[in-house]
Amino acid sequence: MSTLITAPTSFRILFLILCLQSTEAISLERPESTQPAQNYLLFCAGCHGLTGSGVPNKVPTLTRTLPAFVKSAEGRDFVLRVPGVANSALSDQGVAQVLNWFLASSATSLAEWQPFTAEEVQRARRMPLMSVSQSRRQLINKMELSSEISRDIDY
Amino acid sequence: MQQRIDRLLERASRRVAQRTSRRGFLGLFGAALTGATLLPLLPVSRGGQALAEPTSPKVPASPTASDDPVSCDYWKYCAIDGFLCACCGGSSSSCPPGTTPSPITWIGTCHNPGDGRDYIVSYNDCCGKTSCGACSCNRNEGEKPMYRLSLNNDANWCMANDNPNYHCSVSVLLGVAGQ
Repeated sequence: MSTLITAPTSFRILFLILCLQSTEAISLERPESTQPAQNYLLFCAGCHGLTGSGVPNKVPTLTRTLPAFVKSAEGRDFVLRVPGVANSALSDQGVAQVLNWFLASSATSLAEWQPFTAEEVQRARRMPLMSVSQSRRQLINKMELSSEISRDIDY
Repeated sequence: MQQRIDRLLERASRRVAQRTSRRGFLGLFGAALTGATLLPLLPVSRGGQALAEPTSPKVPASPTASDDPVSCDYWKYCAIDGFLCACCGGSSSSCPPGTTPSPITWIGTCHNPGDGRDYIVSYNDCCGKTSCGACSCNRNEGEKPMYRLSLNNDANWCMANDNPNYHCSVSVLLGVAGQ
């Protein structure tokens, strides 16, 4: 077996080094915290508000709709494909932790929902929703949710 | 005597000519030139050189950071872009009378050189009146272009207000940033 490094191999090594360097530069830009509460503040609260209340007719509330959506497979898929999640700078693990932290902090009983996993987030967020409002309306209509949720139908 | 010297020099010249070649000489000369050029690039320690240079005073990370709310150098304004509400009838963290804070905003961190800690800061625009025009301040630490809208300070964050006129900006501390 030859110990010589061939040209393609050396290019591969150089490429790997460059990739590692760029990953480091990106991670140093804005480190993701290990605390989901802090990640919520830094990555979500700017639009959804400090408590997740949203802005009427502008930014969807999380407090009412999120606990309702996560109880069905379709709802969970929707949550993980909305622009705020699909485009988030948070990692898959970071997204899962923030969502689980938010749900655990809300009044939702733990028995009523399954925590998100990084794998579930990774699978779903790869396919961002194109018609978010339409998907949201369809979901709420299909789920026959209470009138409390139905008033959050248009965003 | 002269003939003897001539013979001696001739013999010496012929010996050199027989043992060496012009190409060999050129090659050796070229290698010497190249070596002399590359020598300063070798990774040798230049510690001595650095020590020989005059030492300049250490510049602090944020030389002009202050705690003055009407100064653009106030540490918690590290990524603000707009008119400081503290100069417009409000404070560094509250909107002037007659304006309402934007419900959507962008949130980042600022380093406080006073205690060496990073703080989570919410930059809210105050909306509902025309531009204040006083104490314009534009600092962009950690600010990102429009494709990262949630980290952009050029956006009019009054866009979600009933009256989207921009008046001034505040910087609200939300807590200490941990790991």
